[in-house]
Amino acid sequence: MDKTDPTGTTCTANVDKTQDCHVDSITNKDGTATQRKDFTDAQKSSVKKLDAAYTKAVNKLEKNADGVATVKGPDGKTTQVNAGKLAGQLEKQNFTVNPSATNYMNSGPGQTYVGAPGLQAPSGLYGIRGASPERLYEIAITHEGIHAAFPWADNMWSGVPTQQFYDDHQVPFNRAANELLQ
Amino acid sequence: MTSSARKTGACSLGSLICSLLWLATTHSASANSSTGAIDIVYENPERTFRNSITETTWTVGPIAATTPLPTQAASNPFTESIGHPVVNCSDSMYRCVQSWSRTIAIPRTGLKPGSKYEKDGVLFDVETCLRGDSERCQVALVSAKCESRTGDGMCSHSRRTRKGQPVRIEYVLYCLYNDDFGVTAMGIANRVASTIQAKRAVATQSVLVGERGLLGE
Repeated sequence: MDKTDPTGTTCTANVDKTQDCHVDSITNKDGTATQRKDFTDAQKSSVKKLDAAYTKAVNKLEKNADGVATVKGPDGKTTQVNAGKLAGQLEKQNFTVNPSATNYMNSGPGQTYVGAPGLQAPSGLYGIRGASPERLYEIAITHEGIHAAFPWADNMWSGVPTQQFYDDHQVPFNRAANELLQ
Repeated sequence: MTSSARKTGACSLGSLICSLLWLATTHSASANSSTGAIDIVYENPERTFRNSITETTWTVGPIAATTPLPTQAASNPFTESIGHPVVNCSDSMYRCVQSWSRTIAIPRTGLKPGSKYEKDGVLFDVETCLRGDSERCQVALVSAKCESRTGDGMCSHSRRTRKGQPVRIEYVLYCLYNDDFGVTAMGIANRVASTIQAKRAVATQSVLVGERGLLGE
């Protein structure tokens, strides 16, 4: 089966309607990008765990498409996030690996950059206890999906210093992601 | 675009875009490790957290240690940067940028001591003039208050105030603005600070790194 992605969507639907999701490109040291269809065996191997976690997360969200979780913000503010919309966003989100980036993941509109640490499961996530590395990986990807699919959730912290927002949103985003992946 | 193009008015589509193009052509600046784009960058004084702003995206995230401590080297912590779209809300009266549901605007005619103005429901005050004369502030501490939001997310200022108590509002952004550099520092709170010192403390949460800041002329 040809699993390249000529349409630019990052997930492809299988016959059984499950999704097959993968990294779209890898940034090279000179700033150019290698597209998925041109990946070497070593590059394919380097993103194998990420592809697997990304695929599992999307399929779990699709299975729970009607599921809703509440992201709790400051001062009693809340935002509802929906698994189906989240899955749809992750399916079209472009994933690029940048091995020289030091952050785990960087998400913006339509685009997620994955740093070298993001090629492995995170060692832990705030607000999540007792989860397997595989589960933590899926939650991390879903957390990024919440930023991309529900950017207004971040705005609950508009009166909070940006660094405090960064720290304070981790637990509610992780817990909402965990809930939707059930 | 060249600096001469700026002088001839080719930058009229928006100061932010112009600043970025100017940065790209005349100055070395921080390069976004992911895209290679030139950013306007603000960092906290501790240099542990960064705001990177391009023509299209305002990204926030931590700055990792160059060398992790041996006790932390084995862990693989989850760290992220988060980007939101940048909207150029400039018009004939104001140079203006919106992102992260916040608005920053500076009058094209410059800042005056004690002046107040409004842009998209956000109330701006020149809190104190730090360099200037009775007609013009070259350097100023400016506040941008969004008192509450309507159902569509727009800021409005219908909220009642309680006398003698700092009232919690949607946000107040304090920034330091310098005619020669643009916004040189900025910060956020959800209550109006009561003293100039407290306002300056908020305004210096993030400080400009490099020569050119947001909304510079």
